[in-house]
Amino acid sequence: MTAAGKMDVTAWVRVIWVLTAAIFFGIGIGAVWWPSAQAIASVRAQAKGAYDEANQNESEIRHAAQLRAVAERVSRDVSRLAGQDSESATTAMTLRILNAQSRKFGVEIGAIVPRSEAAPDAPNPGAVNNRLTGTEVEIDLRGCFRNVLSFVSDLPRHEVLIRINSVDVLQVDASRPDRPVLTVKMAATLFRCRCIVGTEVVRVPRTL
Amino acid sequence: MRFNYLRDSVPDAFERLYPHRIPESFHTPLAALATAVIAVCCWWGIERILLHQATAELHAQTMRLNESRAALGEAHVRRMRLESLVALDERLRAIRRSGAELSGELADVANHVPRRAWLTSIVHLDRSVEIDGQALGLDGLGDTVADLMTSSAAQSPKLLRASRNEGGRTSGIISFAVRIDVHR
Repeated sequence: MTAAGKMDVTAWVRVIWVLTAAIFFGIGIGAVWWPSAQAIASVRAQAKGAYDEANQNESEIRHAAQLRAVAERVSRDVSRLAGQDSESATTAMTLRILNAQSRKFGVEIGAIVPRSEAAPDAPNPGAVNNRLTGTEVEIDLRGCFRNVLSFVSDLPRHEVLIRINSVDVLQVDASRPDRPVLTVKMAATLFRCRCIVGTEVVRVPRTL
Repeated sequence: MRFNYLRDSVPDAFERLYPHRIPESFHTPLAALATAVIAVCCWWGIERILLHQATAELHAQTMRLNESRAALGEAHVRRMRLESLVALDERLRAIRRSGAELSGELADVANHVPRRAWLTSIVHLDRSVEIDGQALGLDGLGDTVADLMTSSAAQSPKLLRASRNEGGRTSGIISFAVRIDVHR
């Protein structure tokens, strides 16, 4: 081999070594590892974010599921307190209760005057008001002070939802000083409650 | 003339491929080049597998997140319903308590009227109660106002009017009207 040929071979060997280094560092690290590592890190970060958010959501959902017992208890309570849901049933039951209570407490009922549909009076006119429909009623009573108070106190505790708005003592008949008889005008509201009672099952997603 | 009767060594891979064309000085760098190419290819494959695993994990977490978001939406709806139900329950309880509260107020007012005075009417206004009554002299009226001040259901009684009945059997009796604010 001539000297020029030997130089040529050495140069080619160097070219191959440089090419080897370029493939390893340039393509291997620059074109394969670095972009792939960046993409993997980005995807893992997104997965971690989704994992954390899902964990937080599931924690809230578990807490909400614990409220089921509360919801059932409140539903039972509302069912017990709600009274009648139709106007005719409310009227019939109210008359029955007024009759029974007046006899029980020795109070004479003079007049029952239905007024009008009661306007909503709760602070926020939301779902609660939409479920309660009221009719205002004025009831004239006569009886001893203690009996009237017992009558007023006991009246809202029966099957009909009655709110006592005011009790005005209009006149006191003191012909019997030991037992003065009061003439009382009682303003009340008869409510009908449309209740959506019942609970639904909260689905808790499977934890990974 | 001399003859070499010994056999040649077993040819390596390059000699097998190109037994006559590749000079011996190229064997090591070409082997390194081939190794580098193979290593980079394997590296690329491994990175693809890792990326695929990470993408699959992201997909699974995204699915779980979507499920949890849907369930959370349902839970929020249920929570709102429960809050509405609790508000209704409180309102119903307040309605059921209304009679006892009013009779308690009236009883409290009546219990804070002294013996030298008596009430003739009690009228509920917006957040106050107007009481009409009669008292034996100014002393009786003063005691009435003082006693009403100690009532737990009422506060700050205000005397609206007081007038002495003239002549007849009720002479000396003072008719009065007092307004008291009520706690509700």
